[in-house]
Amino acid sequence: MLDYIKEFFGGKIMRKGMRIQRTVGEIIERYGKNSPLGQWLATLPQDIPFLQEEINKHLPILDDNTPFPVQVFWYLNEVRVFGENLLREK
Amino acid sequence: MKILILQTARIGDTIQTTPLFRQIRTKYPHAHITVMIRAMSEEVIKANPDVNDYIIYHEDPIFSDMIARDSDRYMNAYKEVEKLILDLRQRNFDIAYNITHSTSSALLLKLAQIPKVIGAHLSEDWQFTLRGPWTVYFFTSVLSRDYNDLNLCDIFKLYESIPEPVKELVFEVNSNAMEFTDHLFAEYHIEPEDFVVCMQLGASEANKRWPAEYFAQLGKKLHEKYKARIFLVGVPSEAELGQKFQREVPGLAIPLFGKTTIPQLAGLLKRSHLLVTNDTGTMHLASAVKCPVMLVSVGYVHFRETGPYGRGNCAIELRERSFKMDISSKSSEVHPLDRIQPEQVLKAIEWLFSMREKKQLVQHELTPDMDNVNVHISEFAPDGCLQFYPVIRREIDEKDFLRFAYRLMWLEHLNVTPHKQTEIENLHKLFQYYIAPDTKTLTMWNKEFRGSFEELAGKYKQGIHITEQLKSTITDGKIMRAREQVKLLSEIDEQIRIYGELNSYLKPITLVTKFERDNLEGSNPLELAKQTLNIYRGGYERSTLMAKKVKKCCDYLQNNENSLLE
Repeated sequence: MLDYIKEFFGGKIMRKGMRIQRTVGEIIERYGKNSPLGQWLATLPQDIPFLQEEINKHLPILDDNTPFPVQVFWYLNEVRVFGENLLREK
Repeated sequence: MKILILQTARIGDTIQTTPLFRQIRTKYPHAHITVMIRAMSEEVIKANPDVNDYIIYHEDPIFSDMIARDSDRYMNAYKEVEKLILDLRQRNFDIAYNITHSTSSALLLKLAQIPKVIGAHLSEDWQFTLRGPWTVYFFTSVLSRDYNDLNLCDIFKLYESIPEPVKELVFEVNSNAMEFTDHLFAEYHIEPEDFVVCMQLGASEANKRWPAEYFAQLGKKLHEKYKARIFLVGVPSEAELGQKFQREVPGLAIPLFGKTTIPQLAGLLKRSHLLVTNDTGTMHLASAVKCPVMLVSVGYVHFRETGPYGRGNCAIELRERSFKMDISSKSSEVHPLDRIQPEQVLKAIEWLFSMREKKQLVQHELTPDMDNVNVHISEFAPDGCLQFYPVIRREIDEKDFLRFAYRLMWLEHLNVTPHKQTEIENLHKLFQYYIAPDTKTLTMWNKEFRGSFEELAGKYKQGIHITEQLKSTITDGKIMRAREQVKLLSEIDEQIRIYGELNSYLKPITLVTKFERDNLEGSNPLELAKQTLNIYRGGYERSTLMAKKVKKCCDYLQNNENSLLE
């Protein structure tokens, strides 16, 4: 039964209130698998939520060969860390 | 040449960066200069003739999108940043100045693929690093603020030096803003001969605010004595402070909270005779339009660092007695001596105007009513950087002495004042406003401080010696020996750190070393050894130079003691 629910309702069951939570697989469907973002997301487990906390767990170390989407995700992470530190200081 | 300047802090910081914009414009008159700012600073950039273009950085919405735990909003943030990076790449900047200290700003410039970056950046191996000596100074001085004698505007502008340094903030007031002020003055029947005072009651943090009630009492005195017409300026959220003011002195002031745009506020300040303020963006705007500033420096504010940039502004602060409050007292009331009183600010304002009229700094003897405060007036020192000179004549204390010695050291070390004559003029100009300590004290300072700096220099010398050996060891491929030497260097680093902790006045030097050692670039052992060698050499130079400056200052005060006491 659980497999059935997961297969047919996917990320929709993760939605809470007004927050929209999609799986990585759903994001790929939405934005195309041939884009650099789609190609990199395809390397991740498809059923994890597309949220910063989850994506961060799969980010490889930054170097000159890092794909562009990973660079963007790393940047987003830095903005968040900086912002949260700032809030804590306040 | 295409230049990018990244300044994504608050409005005040953007105004404080305008001398750098002008220095860069002077150095590269035909360059295309783009500034990246947050939306709140847009009007500041529009009023700046040195900048060709600007990019708005939407950091706040990006941050909100990320913390929302919403996939679509996370994707919005992704798209926004993707667009920004691609836009920056497409603009093909040749050089970027990063005045923002975050790792995210450093990463952004790395991703933008700009060939040369001055300021915070990421190295070739993607590690956070600082490019440029003044960047390192900026980063480490905030950790030892008591010994920083340089204004942030000077630190920023020195990111790119020119022969004739800029000595003003830049904000061009447009005709619409002046028209607004004309209408405002007409509406409130303000005549040209009226004494117009603006007051900024708010500040970014509660502990940086002088009480609104005290502002009100000061306003009342200014009105009674000089028939001052008072405007209360600020953002809508500060209206509550305005209500406190109005409760104290109903009908005295005209509240303008949220009723002016930034250009309109600049227009009003330009036509005003004085701004009384906490440490705020409005203060920098007033300095930019040459409105005299009376800064009431309270809380965690270092007016030397962030105070109004320009000649003839005043700062008042409590002397250190505030830290000696009677903790056994059960009363929650603040002792009068632990607050700057309205009467004291009034007196400082009167001194300020008397000096502006005479066009020179006039000192006053210490009187009991001003015993718990310091009053300083700003003026450019012979070295071209801003200096706050004491208005009340007192004996120079240890902290002032060392702060000034540090100023001399850094400016020589970082090549701002290579001429000895400038330094002598600096010494003469500052020390004439202090009473020299007695010979016994000066002898003690000379011995104790100089001794500590020399001892510190000795530790750096050890580091230099071992690193030179390490270089040879690496070249010869003796791995085990190299490991031992690296261990010895770690021990020296620890000794330097502890020595700095035990003698806090050494921290401006020891912190730079720690910062540089933590920010080595690359992974090639020989390259790392070379960088380490330069770090120890830098530390050695700074320590020996400080020892010399301490001696020089002591000698100067001793030889001129009689004339100083006259």
